Amino acid sequence: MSGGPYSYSYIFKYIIIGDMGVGKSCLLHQFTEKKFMADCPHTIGVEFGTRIIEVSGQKIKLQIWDTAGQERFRAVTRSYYRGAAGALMVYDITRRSTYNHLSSWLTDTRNLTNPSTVIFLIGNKCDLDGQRDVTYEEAKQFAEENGLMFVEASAKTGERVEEAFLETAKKIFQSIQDGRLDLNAAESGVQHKPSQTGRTTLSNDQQPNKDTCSC
Amino acid sequence: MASSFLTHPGEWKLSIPDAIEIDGVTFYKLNVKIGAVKWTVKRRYTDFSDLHKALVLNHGVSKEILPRKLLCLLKNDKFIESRRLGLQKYITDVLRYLSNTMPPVLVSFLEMDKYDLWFLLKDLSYRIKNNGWIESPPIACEISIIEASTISERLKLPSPPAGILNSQEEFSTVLEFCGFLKQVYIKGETNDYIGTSNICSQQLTFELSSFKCLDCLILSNIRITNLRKADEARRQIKYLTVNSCKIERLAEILLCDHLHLDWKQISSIQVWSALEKLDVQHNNIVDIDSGLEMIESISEMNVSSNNIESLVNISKLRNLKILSVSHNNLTSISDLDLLFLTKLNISNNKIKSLVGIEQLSSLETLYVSFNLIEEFEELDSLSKLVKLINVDLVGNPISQKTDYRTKVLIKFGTRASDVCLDNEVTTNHELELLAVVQAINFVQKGKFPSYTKNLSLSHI
Repeated sequence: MSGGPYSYSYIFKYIIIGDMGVGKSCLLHQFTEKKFMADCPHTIGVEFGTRIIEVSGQKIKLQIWDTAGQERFRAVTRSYYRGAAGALMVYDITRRSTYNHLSSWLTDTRNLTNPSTVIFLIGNKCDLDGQRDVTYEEAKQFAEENGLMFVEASAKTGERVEEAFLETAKKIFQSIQDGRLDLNAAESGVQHKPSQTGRTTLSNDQQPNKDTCSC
Repeated sequence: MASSFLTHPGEWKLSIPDAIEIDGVTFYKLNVKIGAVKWTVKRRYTDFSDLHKALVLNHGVSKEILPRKLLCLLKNDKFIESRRLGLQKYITDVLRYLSNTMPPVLVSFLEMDKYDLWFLLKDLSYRIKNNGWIESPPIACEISIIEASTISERLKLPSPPAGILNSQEEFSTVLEFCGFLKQVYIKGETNDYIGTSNICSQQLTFELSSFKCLDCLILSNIRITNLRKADEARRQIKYLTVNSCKIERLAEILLCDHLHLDWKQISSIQVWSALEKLDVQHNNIVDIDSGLEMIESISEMNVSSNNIESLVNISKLRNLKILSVSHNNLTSISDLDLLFLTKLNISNNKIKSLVGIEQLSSLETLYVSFNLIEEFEELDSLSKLVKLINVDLVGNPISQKTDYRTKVLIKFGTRASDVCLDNEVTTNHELELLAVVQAINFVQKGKFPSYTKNLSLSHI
């Protein structure tokens, strides 16, 4: 377990989306456990993972929601887009259909997240280059046209998996520093934790605020 | 499955069908029904009154709507009946008025934090935060079956719109906490239903996938077929305890979420590769043979208090060092062949003979108390166990016989002084007696003992 009970100053919320079987859960598992999970069962609803990383000397806790790719879980997974600071959009380089669906995933993401959400495109299974069905160049072009960051990675070998998660965090962190991302906005997907003592008061504050009656 | 207030908007009903008197105090039985789930809460008038004060103060509830407190001492049936109806209308109005805010005081008054998915998780998340368990997570935690089941159910539900709950954040707190836990005790219910509800405890399924660094899992009173997603746990768990789960075959636990598979077809994914210790006491296991291939790494196994009759294939567990099979139906142990076994507990069985035990050449401790051993010849094999130092034969018919201790100790020959029989070390007196008996045996066989200098005939 890499995400231990360490101190951190930010929490970033991520979601991982993409067609069924592109390797979303395996990417998460590789990133959080540094292991490849063979025979990974398909996700029902959502899965969750965390890991603490460091960006520009700041400890950041990533809270990652890994979603089910199957269409029938769309109602569940859509509810997790809200308030995501980073969205990892995954396709399988050996299956063109998963690439073709990217535009609908992108539409969903744009509609359901906020403008500052960083979207990172991952072409997974790059270890299977022999069975490649989508070229690097066309995916790169798609990414550029839509203003996405892009890598080809492999959840199996772990190649460039770190890079995808870390680059996303760097971009988000940059947005915070530039002031493009409002830390106080409820849906920013980022929480700032200036000090450990602030935590308990935070949770206590939340209770009464919600009690304004809407009837 | 727990109720789900948020996903069943409007599908709730509160009623007070009854008032009961306990020790002179009138309690109102409040039935809560949300969707198909219902439960009962007992509340006194003062509980309603306390709730009301809090709601008036912080939540804009009108002061007048609670039925008046009556100062007269005469509380007859008619009065209670009208108060019952008044309180029923009150609580229904209050929930309708506050159903979009659901203040914690109302949630706990209705015990929704015990039976409703959303408020159960909210409560769990609140406890985790309040105890500082995210910053310094405990190593071990007890989780009730309804909590475990709720966590798994929640993973399949959409997050409700922000409002009543900060649901997603609360849920991530719970999941993060689960991800840290090394030892988890999932406690089932001995009753058929959870608390006062109609939630059937035997129908609550739960997944292990949220416990990401589990190395010790304890399950009790759980229906093992309700366990899901254990593949990752299989690779990690070192200590597995499954008590009082009514299991009949060992494979039921080991294959749990793959029960459709025949244990003969197991593949690497079903192997409990990290398992060191398996404890399946207090079940109904008859067949211990099925599935031993899945736990070949274990060094300690406890299958006490089951219905096991034979240990035929247990010798497949080559690394076993400690084995406890007490309180079963064993009649023989001749099948045991475990080279590294140091401790064996076969007390409270129906064993008549220890023939075959000589194969356990590393054995140091042997508990055979309360069996059916009657004859001293049945213990002959003990003489071949050169490392044996603790033997317990209490409660066997043999222990009532004359010269019992001497006749058992003589089996150990010159090692008798190292042996502790029935928790008593061999006394000097016994050693001397043994020496004499041995000397006589030697003489009878026409040989002279080699250690006559220790012999003192005057003691006889």
